[in-house]
Amino acid sequence: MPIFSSARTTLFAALFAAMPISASALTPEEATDLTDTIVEEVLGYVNSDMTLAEKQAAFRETMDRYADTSAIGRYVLGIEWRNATPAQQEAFADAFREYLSNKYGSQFSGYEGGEISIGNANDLGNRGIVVESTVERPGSSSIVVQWQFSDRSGQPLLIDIVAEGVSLLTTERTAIANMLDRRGGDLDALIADLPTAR
Amino acid sequence: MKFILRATAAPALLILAACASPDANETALIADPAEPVNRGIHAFNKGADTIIIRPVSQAYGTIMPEPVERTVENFIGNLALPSDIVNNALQGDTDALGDNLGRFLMNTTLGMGGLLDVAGDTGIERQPADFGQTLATYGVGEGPYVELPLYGPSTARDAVGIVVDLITDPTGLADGDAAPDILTGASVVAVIDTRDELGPVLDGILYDSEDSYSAAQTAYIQLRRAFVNGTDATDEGFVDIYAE
Repeated sequence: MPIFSSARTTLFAALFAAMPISASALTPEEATDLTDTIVEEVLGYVNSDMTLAEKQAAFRETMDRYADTSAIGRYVLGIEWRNATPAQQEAFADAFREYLSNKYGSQFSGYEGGEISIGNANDLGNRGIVVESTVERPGSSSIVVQWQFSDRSGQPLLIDIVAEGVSLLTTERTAIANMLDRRGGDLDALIADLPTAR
Repeated sequence: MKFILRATAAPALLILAACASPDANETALIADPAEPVNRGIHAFNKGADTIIIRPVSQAYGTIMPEPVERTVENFIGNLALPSDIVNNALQGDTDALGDNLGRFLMNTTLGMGGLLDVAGDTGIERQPADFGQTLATYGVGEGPYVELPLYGPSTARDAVGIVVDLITDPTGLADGDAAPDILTGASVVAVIDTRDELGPVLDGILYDSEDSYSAAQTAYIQLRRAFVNGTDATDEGFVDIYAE
């Protein structure tokens, strides 16, 4: 019955095509799995013999794969993003990505020998899903780290990391506004300095 | 008709005017009217860290074997408990009060005056509390940002809290001439120990960031608000970045 089987194939194809749309809403389980994957990947090179530059490069790749750095950059620049030309927006996005991986990639030494246990995931609706985790470091008190994911970009991606209440988004929004202020609002000067700024 | 238009237009214009000044204050987390003075104190604090606190804490971290460091931390943590307990009571936080009181009794007796953390081994952890937090539970706002000499970043409310905690600390009021001296010594060691523990994070804020004053303020205010409001309220901080 080739007609039946081809009809079945078409039906399956239609079902599969429809599935990602109906199942696209990010679930707490998926967000937990994503956190687990990111943590494993980062701890893999934090506790390795790689040089700092190699760790920073590896961290940049992790960020590119799992975080929505362009949305983070847009939010961080705020009003200035809307006032920028498309060329400036693109240059800022690149510079900001480099700034993030260099700045946070250089803080790995504080987490060597650390272990992370992943806890609950909370659905915050439009704001996405927040996964709770606890970082234990030898000889130091534990730190609560929260991972915020959203699939509003079309893909489930990391959009904020909050350590003991200190949010990357809030910290960088303030830091970037301050840097821009110190350069008299000159966005091009900020873009030029950003890759080596802290 | 004209009058109605004007009445509705006026607030709209005010809102527009408020939006039209995209200066740094728009993203600032807290009002900072005394910024020039605060920056001066920050420069002093940073100098003190560069010359004394950081080198001493690094030496402390290197010299002290891990078990000794833990014993010192236990002792200092135990001395802080009476003040925590007073604030737990003022805040009506009976759960935290029970934990802290249990810890203090166990560690002071079985833990040989607080050198051993017997309570921690049975799962009773310290629930830190201070008078700034107590004022917050009574509805006192945090007020403007202040940087205190040697203490570092704070707010008007928390600066008052620090002074009240110092004056009313039951450990300092205990009889015997040695109590205040032990407390002063413990505070100095506590600063060194905390600086050692925060090592890379504080180094990043103070010595790597372009504007260490602003970086310290941003980190402190977020940490402090999370501590004062408790972990239940932390969901509030998350934003919908795709909404802008």
